[in-house]
Amino acid sequence: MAIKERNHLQDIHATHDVHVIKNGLVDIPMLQLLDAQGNLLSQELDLWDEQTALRIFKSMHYIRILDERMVSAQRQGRISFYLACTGEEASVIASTAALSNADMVMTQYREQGVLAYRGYRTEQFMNQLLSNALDPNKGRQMPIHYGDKALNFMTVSSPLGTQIPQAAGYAYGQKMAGEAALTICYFGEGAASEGDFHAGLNMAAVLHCPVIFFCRNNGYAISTPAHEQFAGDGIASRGIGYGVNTIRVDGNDPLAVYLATLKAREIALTDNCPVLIEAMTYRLAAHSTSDDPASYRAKSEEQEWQFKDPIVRMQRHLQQQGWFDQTHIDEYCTTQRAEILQALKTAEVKPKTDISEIVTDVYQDIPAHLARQRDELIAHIKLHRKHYPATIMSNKD
Amino acid sequence: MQEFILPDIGEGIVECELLAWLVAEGDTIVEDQPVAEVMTDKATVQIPAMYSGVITKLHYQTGDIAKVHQPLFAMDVSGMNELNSVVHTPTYILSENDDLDTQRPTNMSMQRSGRQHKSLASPAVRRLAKESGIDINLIKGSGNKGRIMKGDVTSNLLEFVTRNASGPLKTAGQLTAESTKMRGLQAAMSKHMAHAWASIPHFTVSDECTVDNLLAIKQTLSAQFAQADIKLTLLPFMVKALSLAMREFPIINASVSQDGEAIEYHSSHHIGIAIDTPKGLIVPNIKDVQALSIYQIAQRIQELVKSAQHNQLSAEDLRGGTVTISNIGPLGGITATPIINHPQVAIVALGKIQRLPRFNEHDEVVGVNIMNINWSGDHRVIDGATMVRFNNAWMQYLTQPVAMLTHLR
Amino acid sequence: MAHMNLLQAINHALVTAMSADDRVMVLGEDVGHFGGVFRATSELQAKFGQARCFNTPITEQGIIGFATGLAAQGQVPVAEIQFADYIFPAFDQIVNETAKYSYRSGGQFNCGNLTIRTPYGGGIAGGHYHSQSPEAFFTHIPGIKVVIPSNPYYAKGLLLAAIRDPDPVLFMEPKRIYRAAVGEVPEDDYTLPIGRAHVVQEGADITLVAWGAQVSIIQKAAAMAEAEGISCAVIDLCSLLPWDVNTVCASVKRTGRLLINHEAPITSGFASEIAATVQGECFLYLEAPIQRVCGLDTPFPLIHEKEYMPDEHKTLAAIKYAVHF
Repeated sequence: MAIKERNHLQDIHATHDVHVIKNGLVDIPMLQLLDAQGNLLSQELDLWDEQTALRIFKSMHYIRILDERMVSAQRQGRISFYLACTGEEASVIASTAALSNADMVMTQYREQGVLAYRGYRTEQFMNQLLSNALDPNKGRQMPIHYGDKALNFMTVSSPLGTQIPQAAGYAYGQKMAGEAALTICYFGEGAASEGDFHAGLNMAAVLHCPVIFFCRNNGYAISTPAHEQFAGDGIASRGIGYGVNTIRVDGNDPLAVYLATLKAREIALTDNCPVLIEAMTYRLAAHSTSDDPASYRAKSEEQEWQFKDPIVRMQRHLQQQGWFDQTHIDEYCTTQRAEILQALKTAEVKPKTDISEIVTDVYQDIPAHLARQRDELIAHIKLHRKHYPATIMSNKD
Repeated sequence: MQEFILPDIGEGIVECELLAWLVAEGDTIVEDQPVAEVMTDKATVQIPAMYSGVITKLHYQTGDIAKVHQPLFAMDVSGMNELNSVVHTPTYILSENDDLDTQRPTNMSMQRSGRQHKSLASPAVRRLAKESGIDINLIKGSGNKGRIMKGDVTSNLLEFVTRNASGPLKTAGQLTAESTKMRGLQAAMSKHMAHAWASIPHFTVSDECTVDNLLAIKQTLSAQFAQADIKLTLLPFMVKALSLAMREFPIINASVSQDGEAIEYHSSHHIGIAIDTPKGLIVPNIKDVQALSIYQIAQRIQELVKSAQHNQLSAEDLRGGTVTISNIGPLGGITATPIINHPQVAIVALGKIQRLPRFNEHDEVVGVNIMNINWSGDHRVIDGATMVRFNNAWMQYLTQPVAMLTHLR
Repeated sequence: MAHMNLLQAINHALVTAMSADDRVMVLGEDVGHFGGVFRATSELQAKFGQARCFNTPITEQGIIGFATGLAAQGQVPVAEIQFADYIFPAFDQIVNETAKYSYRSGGQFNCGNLTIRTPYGGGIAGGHYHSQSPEAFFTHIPGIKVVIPSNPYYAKGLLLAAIRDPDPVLFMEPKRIYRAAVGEVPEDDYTLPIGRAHVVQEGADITLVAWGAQVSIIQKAAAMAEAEGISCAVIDLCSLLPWDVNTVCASVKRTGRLLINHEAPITSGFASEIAATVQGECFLYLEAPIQRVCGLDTPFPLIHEKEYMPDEHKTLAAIKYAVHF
């Protein structure tokens, strides 16, 4: 086979002046379809249907109630850790709504809205949060590290950005398998500083992977504000650098997010290429229950963004459309609050995972050395039971 | 009454400052109602109540440092049970049998020897000593810095174990199929024999010895020895004659070094006598036969036999032998291929005395008392010719005991 | 049967795997048309197409992250890291993602289809950055397997086993003997068990253990020892995670002595794990201290490569020390 002749300069022409490309030269506007009052900013666009809109709206309420409940539970010592997504509900839920259920979702850790939209049940949330025996992770990970194969939601891992090249690879596999599905990969603007971001985007572009990279630019990475995270024009500008089609969107505008994602999905699947969406939003929540934003940002800034609350904006839009029913949503929220509280109480008294599971799933089959370590551990605990009163051991051991 | 324990609200904090109480003692509160505001080095947070009820006690004042995992406040929940969740119970109920700290795993038995110092020995050598029932600290090591080598253990096997021999062998009359683990003397013997056979290339030389003259002397001297309460046998003569013969053939009284590269000649003749006891075969030795009279030898033999029968042989009796005589003749047998008592290089087994017809120098058939003599030698250092020559020298004294007179000192 | 060197055996294994299963894919730097800097992947792109054998940009973290995701999707990727010296950017993906994929999700997800291939080891005047033997780092990661062949027959069988193993496998190839190691290799599809050591020869006085290119070194030392009356058992460990404790311990219980040889620096090298486990299992059988004949605790040198290497002479000296202890 003849070796191809390639000219890596073919898209470049010469200039005779020193041509300095300054930062921000490329204007990347933010897609906005609803104004703050919920009015449509363009009459030309394809709208979503009422069912989709209501489902998004209820999911946003649900996740906000769940977040409130679980932050409180952490303060009561009922769970060790929690991470809320307050203020970012539109970014995550509206984008999920634009996907197919067959699309794989890989997240950072602040995307519980995906699960809420896809139908993860309250008791399932609680089982993982309380690490009881019904946790599909078998109690191995901290709270909020959800994963669900049936809902195509990849298990969360704490290291930032590691999911980005994995998403490119997963998408490549979907393409090779001929599936009519893609992968969406969520991450924050802070995680986009990690090497894995650059590796992942570059590979996705070069290898023609049908993947949506969805960046929640929420302004903060724990206490580090965006201007201490990067000097370029957000994350969107990097997409261009990697040859990746890029869309910037108002992350608090549910309709914009929805339509941007629909469009991205179409491009990715048709052209077998990655699309980067940068959703401009704000992390109204603290980073986690271990964090207090009062020490690094002003209340006035938070208040400014509270006026842009995506749930409020969505409600106004629904009202504009005549799809909003106050009684209905009030009932929904009251019911959910009660069910969530009850589910918490149910989940926290369920027993934890049996100790023999400590060595399963490291490998597909338990190797001899792990079986031995397990047996020695169980023997030790049996001998010193009073020092390990909470250990769950089935009596057959 | 329920104490609310202040939880660790931030990954390993131990305390926080109580900024403000949001309720007062006596207040009726509902579940989730914020009760206090506390500050850690990471965050200022509000603590909500877990139950509905009445606040009975606030354990801190504003500005105090509250300890994590300690009660923050107390409340009465008893009047409002239907609103409260199930009280948490531990998943395992303690019982009296739980104090298992006093139990030790059964395979851990720690016996300390009374000695202060620790013997130098490799793990393999320690195991060998342990399996042989020998206290390793009582063995003298021949290695560098007194290190105990494997040979030190095997050469000491018998002497240590016979002193601690326990348990008779299986008695006759029982016909059962079973497997019993070898212990004590039996185990030691087994190892000793195996080691000797494995490390020494044996060869055997046999000959007939005419003992008529020896028997006559015994007859002559019996009464005299009996006066000293010694039952005279042929053995003392044979032992002394052996010593005389070994003067001419010192190789018989030698040992091969541990590494198999040197011959160690011993200056003293410590002649071992195999003695049959109820516990098995024991081989004490008579020290310095070269300096003893036949009378002293006979005396010593009698003492050793008595000690052996009563299991009173000392370690010194059992160690240090340079050559061994095994007189099985009284029991029977003619020919034998004895196994050398490592680290010696020769052993003789004496068959029974038979009265047999032989031709004399005049070609006449005469009745002669004949004892078969069977030598096994270490073929690394003794060749056939040497063994025969030596045996000839010995038999010379046995057949013509008067020849011993020439070497009398 | 065919006469092959180690590289050809590896290439053969890849061809076999890719022919048998459409999901098997090969990716890495220069593995496509070029066939890899060592030619291990030569002709694969021509045979199976660019979609299944392709170049990646230069990003080890990207390669392994991508391959992990690809394996999670259900394909069977064989990712090459061009030199083991360059595997470190991928360490986060390997430790925190690849190895934990199954455990952290309670078995819902796994990337067990992933195989990582990488040439390692010195002896080619490669200096600091083309000679390292980093296997010890990876044996410390629960969730992956580590396999190292020492000859062409084992290379093909073990690589096929690694590709088909339900857990992610790091397959480390001793580059010094890529061409020097030759042997008869079956041309059909066969696998060899991962986790099983290979007893190269029996012996009575001391057990020698090594893997990869150092197996032939301890074999040389064994022959030299034989001439001096010392009988050596020689074991090719083959797998480091999991490793065949039973085979090694059974041998040490017979000989009473153990020697382990590896190029990697001695401190915290894999010989430490073997020595610790063997002294725990075989304590009462030990006649001498366990010998570790390894590289020095320095970066891998260029001009002093010969002196750095744990060669047959150092090995023989250690054998004699142990036997005469």
